[in-house]
Amino acid sequence: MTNSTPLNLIAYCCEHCAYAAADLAGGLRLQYPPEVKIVQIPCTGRIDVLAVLHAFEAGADGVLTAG
Amino acid sequence: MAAQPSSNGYLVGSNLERVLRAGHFAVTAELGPPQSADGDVIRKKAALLKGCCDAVNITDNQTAIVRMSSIGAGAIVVQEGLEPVIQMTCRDRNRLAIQSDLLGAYALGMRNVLCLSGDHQSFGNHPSAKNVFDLDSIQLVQMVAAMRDAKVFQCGEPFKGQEPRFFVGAAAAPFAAPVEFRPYRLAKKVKAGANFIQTQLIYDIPAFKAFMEKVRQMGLHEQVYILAGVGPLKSPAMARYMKDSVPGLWVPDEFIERMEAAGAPWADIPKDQLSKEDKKARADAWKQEGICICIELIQQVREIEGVAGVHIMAIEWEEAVRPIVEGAGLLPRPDVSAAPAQEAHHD
Amino acid sequence: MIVAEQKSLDEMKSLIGEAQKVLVVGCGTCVTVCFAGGAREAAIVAASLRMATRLDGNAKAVTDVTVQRQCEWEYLDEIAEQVRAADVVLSLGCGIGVQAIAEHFPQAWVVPGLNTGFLGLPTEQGIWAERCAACGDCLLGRTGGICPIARCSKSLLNGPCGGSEGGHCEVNPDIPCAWQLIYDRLNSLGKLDLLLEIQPPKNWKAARDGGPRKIVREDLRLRAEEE
Repeated sequence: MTNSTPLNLIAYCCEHCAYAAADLAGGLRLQYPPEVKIVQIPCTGRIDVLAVLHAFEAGADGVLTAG
Repeated sequence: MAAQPSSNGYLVGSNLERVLRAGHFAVTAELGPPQSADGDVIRKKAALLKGCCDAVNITDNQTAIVRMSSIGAGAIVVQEGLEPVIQMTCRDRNRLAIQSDLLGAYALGMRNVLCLSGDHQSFGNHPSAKNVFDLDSIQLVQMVAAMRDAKVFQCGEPFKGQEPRFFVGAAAAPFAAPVEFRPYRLAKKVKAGANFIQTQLIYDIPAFKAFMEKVRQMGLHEQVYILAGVGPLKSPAMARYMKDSVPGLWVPDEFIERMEAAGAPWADIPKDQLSKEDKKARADAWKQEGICICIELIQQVREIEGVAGVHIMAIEWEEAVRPIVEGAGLLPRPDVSAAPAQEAHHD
Repeated sequence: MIVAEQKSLDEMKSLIGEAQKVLVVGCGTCVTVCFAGGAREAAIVAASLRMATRLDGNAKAVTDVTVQRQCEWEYLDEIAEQVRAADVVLSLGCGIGVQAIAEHFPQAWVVPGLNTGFLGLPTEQGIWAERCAACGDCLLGRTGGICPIARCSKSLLNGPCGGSEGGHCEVNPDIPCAWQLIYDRLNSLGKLDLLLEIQPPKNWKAARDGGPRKIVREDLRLRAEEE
């Protein structure tokens, strides 16, 4: 897929697993796409409709939750 | 038949009251008004029913579908020389409208009223209408009886002149849930002042016998005339629909099987190969069997102590009434116009 | 509680019309607990309207605020400034809340974001059912605590009618027959004799049919000199 403007993705990551995994990936010098902005959250249970809406409202093209 | 208040020993002196008071096995039938303003429909149906019943129920927007008014059609029935039983439901009128309509009905010569709650409007052709149900059927019985006996409006004010005098009927659904409460609800209708009862369609004779046994234990059959509701089946599909989809109707499998057997000669012909003549012949065979079953039902309910008559509901099939009544040996209908009142049954 | 549900976003947009500054007002009482118009719903509706109007090419300024109860003046006083600044107030309160805002702020243009359903309770997670019709003359003492006015399709007082089948109402198999419930309950409590009494015609004057209602408690009113 080609797009004139870079994608803007928000990843809500649980600090206990997905965020920790991303941290480890960084420590191992693994690459991940720069379009993904990680937001650390205490738990994916914290995600609700409003968090997703706010991401889109702020210009996100997609929202990823990982936990 | 304009009865002066009780001067002759009758409550109202209607033909139906006279027939019942004389101890005859009464026959009432049903006449459904048209979904139009065509009075000839009523006249034609009245001609079919004349002479084969003691009074004819005129339904009141049955199944909540708008039709010519019961009282309007009843006035034509009176002109045609039949006696109407005006059906009055609580769905469309509050207590003011019911009372004023009844004043008019009496002035037009009507003498019997059947008091009903009425089918919910969600079943009819105006489902978004507001319902009324200001009164329920039992309160309606009370009101109509009090209009006659206490000579007052529902509010307690006296009439300014002639009071409307109606022979007051109510319905009973012996097989609607909770079945064990039904005799008690019937008792409430009797207590409220019902003079006669017309039941929902009866097909399950053993179950009806059990109901009537309870009714007799409670002594209700001595306080009210009970007319068992019967009706001819038109097809196996109608029988199955009644059994499966109509609350308070119990249709034994035996009758469904008999209806199917009546159509057996055509059962093996694929649907798309049935000619018009085949279909007509099959429909006639079904109808014949339906009439036969209805006659048998009448003969069986007649044997049950406390059953004072039958109410024949041949829905949109008034032609069936005469052969049914004739087949049941109930013709000719008694002439009770000059009969003095028998010992008081109710008072 | 009063149970309500949200109108569609399209209907809300059409009710807002040409107004540019929109104040979505949530209510912290009944409609919060039925998830129709609390603080969270107000924020979601506001965000949705901001995005929807932006996509439509006419981004509106939509803000939200939630008060403890829209149906009491003192809570409405708190948002007087925001109401004044708005072109339109989209109330996520029940019909009472909408009218309270309109009555309290004569200059405000108020539109409803909810359809107010009924007085009821949650029977299970995500399901609310009607229980009271606010008829003004409670008869629950005669029916074992089950209301035939609110729960019988015909509001019969001497039911059940012939349309009771297998415990449900003929109008809809999802509707339990109130009179079957009453019968069963009185039966289990040994009080079936209550059903043998003919209940007289109800005085509907105490209900809405008698005109809009009002309760005056002289013992609670402030005397003129104290006001």
